[in-house]
Amino acid sequence: MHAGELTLPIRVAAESQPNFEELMAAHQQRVLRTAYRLLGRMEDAQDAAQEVFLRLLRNMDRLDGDPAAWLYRVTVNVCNDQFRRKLVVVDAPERADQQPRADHLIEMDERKALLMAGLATLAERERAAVVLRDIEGLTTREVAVILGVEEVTVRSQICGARMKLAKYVRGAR
Amino acid sequence: MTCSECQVQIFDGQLDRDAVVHLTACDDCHELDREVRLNASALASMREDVLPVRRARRWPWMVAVAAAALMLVWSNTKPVVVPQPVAVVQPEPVAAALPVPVKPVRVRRARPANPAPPAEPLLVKFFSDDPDVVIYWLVDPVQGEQAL
Ligand SMILES: [Zn+2]
Repeated sequence: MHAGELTLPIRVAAESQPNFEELMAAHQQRVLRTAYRLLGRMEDAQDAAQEVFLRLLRNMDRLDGDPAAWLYRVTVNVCNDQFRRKLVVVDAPERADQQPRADHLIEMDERKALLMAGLATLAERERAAVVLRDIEGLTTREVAVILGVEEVTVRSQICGARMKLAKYVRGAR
Repeated sequence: MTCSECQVQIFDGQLDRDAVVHLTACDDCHELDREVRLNASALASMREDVLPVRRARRWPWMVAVAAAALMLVWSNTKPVVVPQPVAVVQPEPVAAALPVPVKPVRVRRARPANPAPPAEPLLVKFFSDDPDVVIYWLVDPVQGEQAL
C-alpha cells in the first residue's frame, strides 16, 4: 500500500451511515427479486435495485419504522416509474441444470414463464399487489401498508390480478 | 350459488361451504379452481427460485453505489477552506487645513510565504464480495475523481 492509499471495504459509508451495509446485505436479494418480478428482466431489475439502494443511502437519516416495508414501497415506486418509461421485455426463464426433468416440473416452468409474461400485462397496482402478496408471501395487511391503500382495495386488486393471470395462462396454452 | 359468485371466491382464495358444494357439481368452476391453485403454487415457488445472473451488469451497480458512498465520505472529510487574511494599507496622515483630495484606500491581499505543494491523489480501494472484482478509485483534489 503506498502513501495516500486507503483500503476500504464496500461499507465505506459505515461511519456516517452505520446501518447502510447491514440493510443492504439483509435486503438486497429481496429488493432484486421483487424488482425482477415486477419488471420481468434481470438487467432492468438490477437498475431498479441500484436506484432503490441509492435512495436508501440518501434517506438513511430519515428512515423511520420498518426498513423492509420502506424498501418494498420504494422498490414498487421505482419499478413502476421504470415500467412506464420503457417497453418491458420479459426474460426467458433460465435453468442452471440441463438434466431431463419430469413432466410436472416442465409444466411448472412453463406456467411460471406464462405468469411472468402475464404480470407485465397487469395494471401497475395489480401487479404490485400480486407480486407482494402471492410471490413475496406478505399478508394483505402488510401489502396495504406498503402500497398505502386499504386492505379491501388490496383484496380487490389481487382478485383482479389472479383473474387476469388465469385468463392469460389459459389463453396462451 | 351461481358460477360468478363461486369464481369471486376462487380468485379471493377463500371458499365457503356453498362454493365447495358448487365445485363438486360444476366442471367449469372446478377446472378454474384447479388452474388458480396451480398459478398460486407457481407464484409462491418463484420466491425460492434462483434469480438469473447478469454478471456483466454488476459493474455499474457496484460502481454507482461505491461512488455515492465515496461522495458522502468525501463531502464529510473535505477540509474547511479558511479565507486568506486581507491587509489594509492606511493612507499617510495629512494636515487638516490643506484641501487635499482623499486617496482611495488600497486593499492588498496578503500572499502566503511558501505556496503549499500540490496534494497527492488519493487512491481508494473497494473490495466487493466477489474476489475477482476490486474497484480502484483515484481521487484528485484538483481535477476530481476517476475510476480505474
Ligand atoms: Zn360454476
